[in-house]
This record gives sequence, structure tokens and C-alpha cells, in this order.
Amino acid sequence: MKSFMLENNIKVIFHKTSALKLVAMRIFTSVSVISENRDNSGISYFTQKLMTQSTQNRPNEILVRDVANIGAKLYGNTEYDVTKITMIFMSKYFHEAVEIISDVILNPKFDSKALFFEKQNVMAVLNSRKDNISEMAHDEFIKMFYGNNTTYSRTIFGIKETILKINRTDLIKWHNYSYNNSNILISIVGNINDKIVQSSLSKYFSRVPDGVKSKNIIFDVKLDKNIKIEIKSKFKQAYIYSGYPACKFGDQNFIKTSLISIILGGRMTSRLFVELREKLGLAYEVNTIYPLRISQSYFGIYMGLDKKNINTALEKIYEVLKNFRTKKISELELLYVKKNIKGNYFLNRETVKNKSYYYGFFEIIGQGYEYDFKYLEYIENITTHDIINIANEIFSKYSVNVVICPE
Amino acid sequence: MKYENDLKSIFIKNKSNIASVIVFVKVGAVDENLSQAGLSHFLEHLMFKGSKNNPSNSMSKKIENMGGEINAATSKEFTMYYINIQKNYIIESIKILADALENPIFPKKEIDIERKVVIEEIQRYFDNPMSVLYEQFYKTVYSGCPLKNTVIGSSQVIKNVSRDEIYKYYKTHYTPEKMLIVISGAFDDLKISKIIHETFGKFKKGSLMTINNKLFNEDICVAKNLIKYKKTELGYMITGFLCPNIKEDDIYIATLVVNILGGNKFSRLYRSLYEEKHFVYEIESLFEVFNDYGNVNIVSIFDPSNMENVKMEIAKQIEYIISYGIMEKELNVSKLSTKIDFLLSLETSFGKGYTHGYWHFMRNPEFIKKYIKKIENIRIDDIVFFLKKYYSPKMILNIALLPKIKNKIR
Repeated sequence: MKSFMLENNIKVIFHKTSALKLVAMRIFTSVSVISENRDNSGISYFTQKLMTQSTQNRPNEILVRDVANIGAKLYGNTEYDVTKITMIFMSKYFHEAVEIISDVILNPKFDSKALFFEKQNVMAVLNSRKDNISEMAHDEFIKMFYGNNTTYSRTIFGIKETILKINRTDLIKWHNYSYNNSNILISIVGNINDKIVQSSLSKYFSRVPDGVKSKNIIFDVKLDKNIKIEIKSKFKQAYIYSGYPACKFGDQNFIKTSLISIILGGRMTSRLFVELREKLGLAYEVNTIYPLRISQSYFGIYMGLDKKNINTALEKIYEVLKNFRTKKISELELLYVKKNIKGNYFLNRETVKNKSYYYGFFEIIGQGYEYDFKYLEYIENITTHDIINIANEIFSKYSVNVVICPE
Repeated sequence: MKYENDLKSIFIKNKSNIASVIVFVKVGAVDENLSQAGLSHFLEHLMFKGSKNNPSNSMSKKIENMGGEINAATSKEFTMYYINIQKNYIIESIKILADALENPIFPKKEIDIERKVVIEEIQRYFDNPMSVLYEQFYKTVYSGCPLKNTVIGSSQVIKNVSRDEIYKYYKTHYTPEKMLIVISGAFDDLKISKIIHETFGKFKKGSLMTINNKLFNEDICVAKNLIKYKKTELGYMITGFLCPNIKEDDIYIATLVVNILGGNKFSRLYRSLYEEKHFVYEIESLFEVFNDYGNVNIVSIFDPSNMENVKMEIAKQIEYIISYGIMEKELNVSKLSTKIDFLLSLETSFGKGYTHGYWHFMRNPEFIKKYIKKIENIRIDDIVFFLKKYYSPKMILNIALLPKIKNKIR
């Protein structure tokens, strides 16, 4: 693993692999949904989407052709805390790929016509989320949990009112803010020589201009009562999405909380899976979610089920959580959970795509790529005492419960 | 490698620290009759409910406690069980899977609980517009053969099927001659051969006859335009036609054809319907291959008012290729894209094991070896000839799912 700075202070992290002749290259920016406000919600998504459509040097059909000519994949992703432009390609096309992705980063066209049609597409995406019960439940949950004034309360696509207002000038400004030398990071993993990486990036990325460092708003959610809402829907299935406030990434309790999410959900032997699915047959899908966020996160529990079982399921979830925070887990259970996390850690790092994501993500949010290598050590140090303490801290708080119910 | 009981195994060696143990069993939706709809899938669930040496959920427990993941999947033509784990646990994983497949207990109480789980899964599946659409597509394109059967199954069957019927179905299909075990990763061949011999290699050969469920009507796949209505926000459609089966050489061409049509942002349908005419929000084409018949299907999502435009433009694009061919450059780009997709599919131990295992299991092991060369040798004429052979306006299916109340996107 290597890291170096380009002339203009852009950090590059690079990991050489030895298997297939493939490379994943990601340009991360720390400007994303968290940096938005109520008037420009959705702008990070639009910016990356239009960046990957055309540049000042390459109209859409030329950009698409050039990417296809080297057999590469080029796409963008917006998450709540980071946005990234990714390219995956064969090692032998490294120079060509870097030239193309640098053009995308440096010279986006932000074509007005493309923006017009992209707005229609985003409206369709927002509508299509209502055709999927788990997306619908998630979207309702974040609205209730985060309230109206935080960026995490909206989907990454934004909201209809602001989407319609975003114009080309807004995108140019947002691009200048997002993709300057203070806010981007390059993460590369693949079977390629480091000298080639250095020379190619110096050639194409040293032109990224100076800019202002992003300032992301950090906020807390404080619930003063339990909130439960029931929403009637067109689906035959019912759905529960519940969540408790939980610490942000970087907090001293973050790793402990993530371990708790594995004890309770995510595996065939997790407690909620065993109690709700294996013993009672209440659901096919039952899981926990603990989003990795630089601001307020939540510990979520979700399941799809039959309408008639909603109350039984909610009572059982409560019982499992109560039991979990009152009775210390055994040393043996903790040992096995740690082994499972370790195994899954390696399973998740088999591809250049995943590795470039983890290293880049930890670096851009300020923990350093080394965090990924220390992760298992942090897990190893957690005790049963830590678990019960954190469980008490999380599950004795108020919660938000969204229940989607057939009409 | 073939064992005395006709079980087969293949070893895929690589340097990874992660290993995969995969077992393919030749049973799926095509083996079911109406009163068994979903039995293969239900059985797959029940295999996790305990075996002689690993009662209750101790199979999952052991694997997860060793840092691995265990799961299974049922398809139209086979059921697959797999474990992904660190390489030093391969032997233990083989033993656990062997015991699960040879000595399942099927406790009555567990069967009754799992019925509820699967019925819930069915409910969830049919709440999804794409699932509804695909089921209708299969019913139509394969109307005369068992490929039309739904994998997920019928709630009625799952609710009522007895333990005896489940056991009989298991005894009929879970026999060594219908299994392939794939080991992918870094391991000692001799040690692994020995352990397979001592476990899977000792499975008793099947005694019950397997009913050949393969019938085909000649009148299937005449052009049809079907519209179903559901409470959805957008319009969804599958446009498709029948294609070569797994043994035919045309399958190599089929993978290029779907890439040219709708495999990426450079593809014809994407450029025309998404970028230029803005008729769709999403469009993609896929090639599905089975023992008897394959199919090419084009999936589109659109504003309901655009449905006819989408249909016409898809037909126009295909017919254009038939009349005028494609450019050499386009063909080369498609070859490169297909090759990189293939490379990416081999990046993980599971990916390598699954890809090699699948083609062995489907009795076309040469596919992998020949793949890159065959793709390289495809010419423009082959693409045109393929579409002339398999596509015809008289045989195209358009299966759409539209909102019950017309909902225009504003």
C-alpha cells in the first residue's frame, strides 16, 4: 500500500494486486448529500450524473465511445457522506483510462438539455421507490427519524421541489466546490506498476484547481418520545422499519455498535433472525442496519411480514433487545461473532472494486486508509462488558417505528 | 473427477485465501408438476433445518463461527448450495455440506415454521413489479414446457405439502449422479479428493425414477402483446424471443448480441431509447440460457404513455441490424466489453467456482475454455444471421405491467 501527494496536494492511495490484470480507480469527494441544504437537495447526485455524461471535449456519444473502446466501466455513486466517480478497466489501458476520468473530473459540460432529461429520470426514480416496499419504508423512516431540517432526512436523489429548481449554474458552482484539490482523493487498486500510476496521475490530475475545503454540518438527533407511524400501502406484505439513535463514524463506540449489529442481525445465527424467522416463522427478511455516517447515525431493524403478525413481531423485537441489554453475552458468543466478522472482512475484500472503495472511503472521511487494516484489531479488543454498556446506551433510548400496512 | 456412485467433482485452483465449496443438484422448477410448484425451493430452505450430525441450525452456526458464509439458491434447472470461507476450513465445510445433503432430518415442527417463512417470501416476491413481469414472461415464452414453472412456488402448495411428499421428492432428486461438487481456492488436491471420496463419494445411488418433465408445444411463442395492470408508479415491460439452448454454438453469439443491443451505455437500445429519444428511464438486455431453450429479453422502465414508442423503437433497432448489419468498430467494442465482464466474473473464488461449475454442470464444460476465442471469432454476419434466425415480428413477445390508474410523470 502506498500513498503520495500530487503537485497540487491531491492525495493518492494505491494498492498493487497480483491477480487479474484489472484496475479500479475511484475519485472521491467529501462534498455530498451531507453538504447540501434544503434549497439544493439532490445537487450532488445531479452533478456526478451529468459529469459522467459529457465533457467539454467529449459530447456524450464520444465519451461513451472512448470508454467502450477500452472496455471500461465508468459510473458515479452518491452516498450521504461522499460521492465518487469510478472507472474499472484492464491494466493495459491505464493511461487512456486516467485521461478519460480526468476529463470527466476537470471539464464536465453540464449540458442543459441533458439536465432537463435527467430531472425527469430522477422524478421517475423517486416514483419507482414507491413500487418497492423496503425503499418506501426506509424513506419514510429517515423522514421521521431525522426530521425536516437535516440532509439525512432526504433520499440521495433529493426532493421534487429542489430538483426542479437546480440549473446549470448551480451545477458548475457545486462542481467547483466538490472537485477541487482540497476535497478530492484518488484511490487506485489493481495489477499495475506504481511508476505508471505516479506518472500518469501527475500528468492528468495536477491540473485540478485549488479550492475551498468542504465544511460538513454535524448534527444530533434527540428523540423525546417513542414515535410510531402506520402507513397504508398498496403492497400485500407489511413492513416494519424501526431505529434508535446511534453514534457516528469515528466515535469511540462506533466499532462496538457495528459489532452489536452483527450479533443482532445480518447472519443466519443472529439473534433477531433466529427469534423472529427461525423460531416463529414471522418473516423471510429480518435484518439490522447501522449506516456508517460522519454525522448522527441510527441502529435500524427491519422486516417484511404478514399484517396479522405486526404486533407479535414488535413485541418480540422489544423482548430480544431487552434481553440483550440486561443479560451480558457469553465470552463464547462474542468470540464467534469476532471470528465471523474477521471472515467476512476477507470475503469483502476479494475484488479491486471493493478494496478501492474501503481504502478511499476511510481516507476521505478522515480516518486514513490504515483504518481498514486496523479494523480487525479494534474488533478484537471489544469485551462483553463493552457490549452490554453500549446496548444499554442505544436501546434504552426512544425509537422511531414505521409500519407499512396493506390497505 | 467421477466417483463410483457417479458423483462428479471439479477443482478450480487459485492463490486466494478464500475458498468456495459449491454443490450443484440437478433439481429445480422444471422438475415439478402443478401440485409440486415450489417444492425444489422449499426443500432448499429445509436443508438448513438440521441433519444427522448437525441438528437444528448448527450447520449455519458452525460455518458462521468459522468466519464463513453459507447460502443456497434455487433456479429453474438446478439448486445450488455454497460456502465461502477461509481456505483452512475447506475440509470442515465439505463435511458439513455432505451431511446436510445426505442426512437431512426434516423435523415436522421446523417444516411448519418454514412454510410460513416461504409463504412470506412469496408474498414479498409478488409485491415486486419486476417479479410479476418475469413470471408472466416465462409463462408466455415457455408456455408449452416446464421452463414456464415458477421457482418461488405457490403458497397453496407450500401450505399443504406433507412431510412424506417432501421426503419422497428429496429421495428422488438428491442422488449423487445428479450432483456436482466444486472446490475453488488454494488447497491440496489429494487431501480434498480423499475427503470428497469419504463423504459425497459414499452417497447411495438413486433408486427412484426421475420423471422426464420435458414437453414442448410447437405453437409457443407466437407474437403476443400482453398488458397486466397493478398499482405501480411506472410502466415496466419485457420484450423477448426464444433463443438457442445451452448445447448450441449460437450461445456465444447470443452473449454478444445482448451486449450490442442493451449491455451498456454504448449499446444501441440505450443510445436510442434512453439518450436520444428519452422514451425510457432504464433499458437493458439479457440472455438466459437453459437446457431446452434460451431467451433474449429486453427490460424497460418508462412512463406508461411511452409504451408503444418503446415497443416500436426496440423492433426498429433490431430490424435495422438485420437489414444493415453493424459497424466493425461496434463489434470490436462489444467483444472487449464482453471479455471484461467475463474477467470480472472470475475475480473471486466463488465467481471462479460458480462459473466453471455451472458450465460443467450444464454439460458444456468446454464453454469456459473456448469462450474468449469464440467471442474473438464472431463476425458481423454471425450477428445478423443470429437475429434473422431467432427474431421475427411474428414471434416477439411484449409483456407489460402498467399502473392501474394511469400515472403520468410530471
